[in-house]
Amino acid sequence: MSKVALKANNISIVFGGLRAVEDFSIEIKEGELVGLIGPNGAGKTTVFNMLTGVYIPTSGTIELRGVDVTKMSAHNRVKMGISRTFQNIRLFKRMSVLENVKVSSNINMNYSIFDGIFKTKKYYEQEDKATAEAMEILEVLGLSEYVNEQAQNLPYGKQRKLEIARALASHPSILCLDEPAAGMNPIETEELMETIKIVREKFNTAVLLIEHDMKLVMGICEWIKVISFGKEIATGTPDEIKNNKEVITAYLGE
Amino acid sequence: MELFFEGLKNGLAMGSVFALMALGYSMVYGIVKMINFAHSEFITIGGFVAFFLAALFHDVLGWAYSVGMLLLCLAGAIVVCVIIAILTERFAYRPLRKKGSSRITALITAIGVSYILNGILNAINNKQLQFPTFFDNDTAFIISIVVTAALLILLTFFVKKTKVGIAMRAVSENEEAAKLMGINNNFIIALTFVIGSALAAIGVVIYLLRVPFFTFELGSSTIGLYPFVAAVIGGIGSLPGSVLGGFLIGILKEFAAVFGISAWSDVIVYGIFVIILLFKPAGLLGKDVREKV
Repeated sequence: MSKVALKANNISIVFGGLRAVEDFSIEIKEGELVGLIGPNGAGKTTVFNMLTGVYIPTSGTIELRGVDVTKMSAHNRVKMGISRTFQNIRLFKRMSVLENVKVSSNINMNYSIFDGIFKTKKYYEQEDKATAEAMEILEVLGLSEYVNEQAQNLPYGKQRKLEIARALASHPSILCLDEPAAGMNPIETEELMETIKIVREKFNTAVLLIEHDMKLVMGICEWIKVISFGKEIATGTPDEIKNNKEVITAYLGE
Repeated sequence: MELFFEGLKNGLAMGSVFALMALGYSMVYGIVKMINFAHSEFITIGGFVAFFLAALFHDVLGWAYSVGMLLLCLAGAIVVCVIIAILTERFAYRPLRKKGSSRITALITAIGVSYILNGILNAINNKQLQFPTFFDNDTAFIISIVVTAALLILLTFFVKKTKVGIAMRAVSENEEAAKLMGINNNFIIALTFVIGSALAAIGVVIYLLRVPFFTFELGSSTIGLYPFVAAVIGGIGSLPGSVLGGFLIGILKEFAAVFGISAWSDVIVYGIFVIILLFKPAGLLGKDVREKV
């Protein structure tokens, strides 16, 4: 049996009087590819925000590789192996493509500020290694030709891929993708499906995917969790979910 | 012609001081979008520490007098300024950031901190103090230029090519995203304050080498708004812009002095300031960023 990458136990969050997410639980093993779907406003992104440390859940616990991270700040959680992309792209627009990826390499480097100022051997070794690794990730995602381009000048679909590249550089064991296919045309979506599969194989990471494109979700996910109005309504394989009455009702109404 | 070179020389020296100080305003603004008005008090404090050390060790250092004194003053001023900057950031600005307060609150807090520090300093002493002369004017000029140039090269490399520099730019562009990519944004912001205040300390010591009078109004009124204006003219948030702005103002001011129209120097400096901003609202090297609605 493989190890657990991410585990959430009954996490809930209340904003004012609103229970945005209630008793959400999930357990993702290393290397799994899991979908999280639900109608608009169901609380999917809120779940992501709790998992990655943007919000601290009102109750419940979160574990990464067996370590309780419920109260841990967002930047420390990245070191524990979680990484994400955003629903609305949040790249460092005026930095180069390579630099965007290298921001995430920061946690893998431990040379001191003085190593940096005096350009010691340690500085060169670690920076060169990070650059080489970033280049490799960009290669896999088909962004090699844009390395020195400013992120904001990339076409939309490539910006989405750059977000994935950036998220990979911190060596996640669980990669959370928040609607990576939003705004993509069918051909780009198809391409993205392939990319996600390759990324999982190559970088040995589990993937948790929020997506509205059902073809994408059903096509690549091993199992899927469905939430509606902040509550889980179903868990199962794509085929089970497709035929689940409650899911169909949630999406289409009675 | 002699007057011209005299003005240029003084202008470059003064400009390098303004440039070092402007960098502090600019870097802090770049990263937290806040104008740290307490920066001018950091300048005064740095100057005072330098003066204090100079008075204390006046007769001790012997043959190594000038160089030793300069290094001592620099080290002391940097250490004290950095500590004050860390405390200010930690206890005045960070709590506001945490609560997600508006920019105007942060600005007023900054002005408040500035007045508090200024008030304390003036309550202690408000006389003009004579700073000892370590170097003749030409040597002081060369030191100003060399130190400033070296620091600029170092800083540019640091921001462009090291992991912390990249993290700084990332926080400056999108704090939230940077945090979620593993960047400790509080550390990065504190570090920015540290660098800015250290540069201010170096700037004021270099200033005192050439203009050896210290008062507790040094940062708030003698040097005053010039470094801030330099940062804005150059394009606040842009490092080369601050340097350009610093030299521009330094040269204008010193030319006015050399040609006997000192009284008009503010009119000239601020006149040009207004004109530049009319044509280049983001400053000379600033990036014209329109906020999307």
